[in-house]
Amino acid sequence: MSCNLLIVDDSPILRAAIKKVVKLAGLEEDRIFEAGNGQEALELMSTIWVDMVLLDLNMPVMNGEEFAQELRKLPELEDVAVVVVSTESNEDRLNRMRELGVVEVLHKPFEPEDLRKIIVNNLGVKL
Amino acid sequence: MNQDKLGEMAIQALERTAFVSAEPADSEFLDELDPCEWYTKINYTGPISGSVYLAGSPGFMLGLASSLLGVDVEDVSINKEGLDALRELTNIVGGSVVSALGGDHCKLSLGLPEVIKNADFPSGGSGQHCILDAEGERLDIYWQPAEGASAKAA
Repeated sequence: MSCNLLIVDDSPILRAAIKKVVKLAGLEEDRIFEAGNGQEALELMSTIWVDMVLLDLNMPVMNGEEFAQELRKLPELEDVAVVVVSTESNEDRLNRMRELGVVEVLHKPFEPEDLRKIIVNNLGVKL
Repeated sequence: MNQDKLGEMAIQALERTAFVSAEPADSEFLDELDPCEWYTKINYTGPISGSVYLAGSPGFMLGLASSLLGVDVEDVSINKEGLDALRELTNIVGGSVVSALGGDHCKLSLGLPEVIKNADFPSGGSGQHCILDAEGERLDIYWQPAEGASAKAA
């Protein structure tokens, strides 16, 4: 069993780096998708099923917090696990994200094993 | 925050994100490393404030970008992918500094990384300066607390 994962980050270079780590964690390349901001992510998610979103917070057009707010309005996507992947440490902001349904916060820089554990724990898949 | 801790944060960011290995540069052989030519900065604000600066040699910029993207060095340029890479590394190291300073109940906010001129890179002052040898290329990291903030914070 596997899962579809979406990396949402405005930096192409960071998306590439995260993708490498995701692959090292055990995910197949054709199950990893990318979006440059929250709006692009929502558009993509209207066409493909995504099990987990790795979400940056500071992005143009639609930031991570706005994306999480919009996602909550879509009951058909309520099962999507959202993981914040960011350098953010501000307690108030992270608490707001948790209130919006974020299941985990992964601080950059992270190890492939940290991500693998999050995927296994939240999606119940074996990698 | 001290020189060693600052270096550890940058080494961890390089190894985990870009799979680039680094170690504190040997002060006796600094002349053997190409000098830094590219500079970035990120600010943090809140109960205390300050900035984290990074500077990289041209070879470091190219190596970092190619490692992050998983492409050959010949396929990246310093002005595009190199600067993007240094900005992202600055964001990550800045985030680590903020996390260490802010602790479990962090009230600090991190700004956005920006490219700066050589003249704006600090020299001396109340901050901490660390020089790394990243696979034969030079990376400088400088933490500058705002005036009045303690350099021994965290």
